Amino acid sequence: MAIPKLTSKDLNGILVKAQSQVAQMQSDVDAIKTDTSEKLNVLKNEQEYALGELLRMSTVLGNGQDGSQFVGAKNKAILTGGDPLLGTYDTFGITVHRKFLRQPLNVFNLITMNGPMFRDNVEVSINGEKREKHKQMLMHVAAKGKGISFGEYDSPNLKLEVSVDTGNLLGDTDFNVIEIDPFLSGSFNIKSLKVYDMYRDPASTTPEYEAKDLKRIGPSRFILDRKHELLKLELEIELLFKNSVGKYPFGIKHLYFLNADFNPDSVIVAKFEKNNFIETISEDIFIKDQFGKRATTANDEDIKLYLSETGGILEYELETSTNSIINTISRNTREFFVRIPLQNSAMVSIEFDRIETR
Amino acid sequence: MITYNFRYRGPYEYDKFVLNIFQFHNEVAILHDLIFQQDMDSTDNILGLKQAFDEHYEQCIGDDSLSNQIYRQKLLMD
Repeated sequence: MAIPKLTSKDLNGILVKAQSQVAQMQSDVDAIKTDTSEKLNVLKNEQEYALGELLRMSTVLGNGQDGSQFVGAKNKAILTGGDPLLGTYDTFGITVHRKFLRQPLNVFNLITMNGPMFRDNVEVSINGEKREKHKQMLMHVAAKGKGISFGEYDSPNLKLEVSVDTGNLLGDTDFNVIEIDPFLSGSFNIKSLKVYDMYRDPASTTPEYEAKDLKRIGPSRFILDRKHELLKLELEIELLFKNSVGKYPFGIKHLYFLNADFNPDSVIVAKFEKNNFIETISEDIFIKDQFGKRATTANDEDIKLYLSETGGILEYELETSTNSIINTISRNTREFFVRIPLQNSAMVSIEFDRIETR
Repeated sequence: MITYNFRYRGPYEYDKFVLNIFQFHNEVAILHDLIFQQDMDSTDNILGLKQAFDEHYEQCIGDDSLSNQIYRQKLLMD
């Protein structure tokens, strides 16, 4: 069989195809270069920030020879990060909260059989500048096209706004949980967090939900008072870390708006261990939650203490002590368990004012 | 993929002209495979290098990143 002779059009087609492939390769290589360069910038800032924090921590440890700064650490339990604790709860980052009754809905990411799909009906602006790149923070980490939302800013004060495009609504925007995962944990404060609802008096400038002075934000969830139908979220941010080139780096790996239902009977059980036998445990406690640290009492929080735990069952309830009533623990024990009913806010840690030993 | 070894001079000028076009196409395809083919076992493969870099990046900025570990330690000192 004779091989058919190619026409000049066929040959031209082959040339054009090869040329377009070269152009495509160039653009693919450029995309890889851009992505790599952005990631290198994140790494550079992360390393510099971590090193600075490490040095600061070493200085504090070196100065605190009397140990007074670490009294709290001895009486404190961080509720995440170590071995899983007993109880019914869910966690993200440094926070624990009431257990989800079912998988929460992610407002801007539709979970499909082919993975998460970003619902692009939203604008994200930083200092009034709307950019497609900023939207990357709202995309699910597994969504196709997810990039890096990270920048270096001249001023330590940022205003981040997430506004829903009301002319292009793709389903409801009900949410009651904000999940945030920054690149540089603890490198910024949120001076104010304001949520504006969809159906509101246009003349009103008062947000439907507001929280202030959230310190040193790390990977965490914020539980709101109720479900809000998101129109706009405003964050006033104060950046605390200045890098070696005099800029303030800021970036968020992901910022999710979740619509979740919680199990109201959720509890978490923390374990405290001491080197010596425990004599008394104070009634006064400090709880660190999504809003910060507050002083309270075990009784007010319905927190109960137990001597031991067997197969998930807590046994032998212990009494706490106040200045006027001392309840000495008669049994020799170096550990005890604390049953904490989870309220409608995410918790980070619990600390007893005093734990006396003998 | 065929690549040809052309003689500098000789007959079959038309054939050489056509084969040159094929050659260009094939060289581009080979280059593309060298750079982008996922299963290519080559350290020069950009995708391979990129994948290794991304894994390192994920380790460095993931949940157990250095800054996250320090942040957790600092929670104890707050």
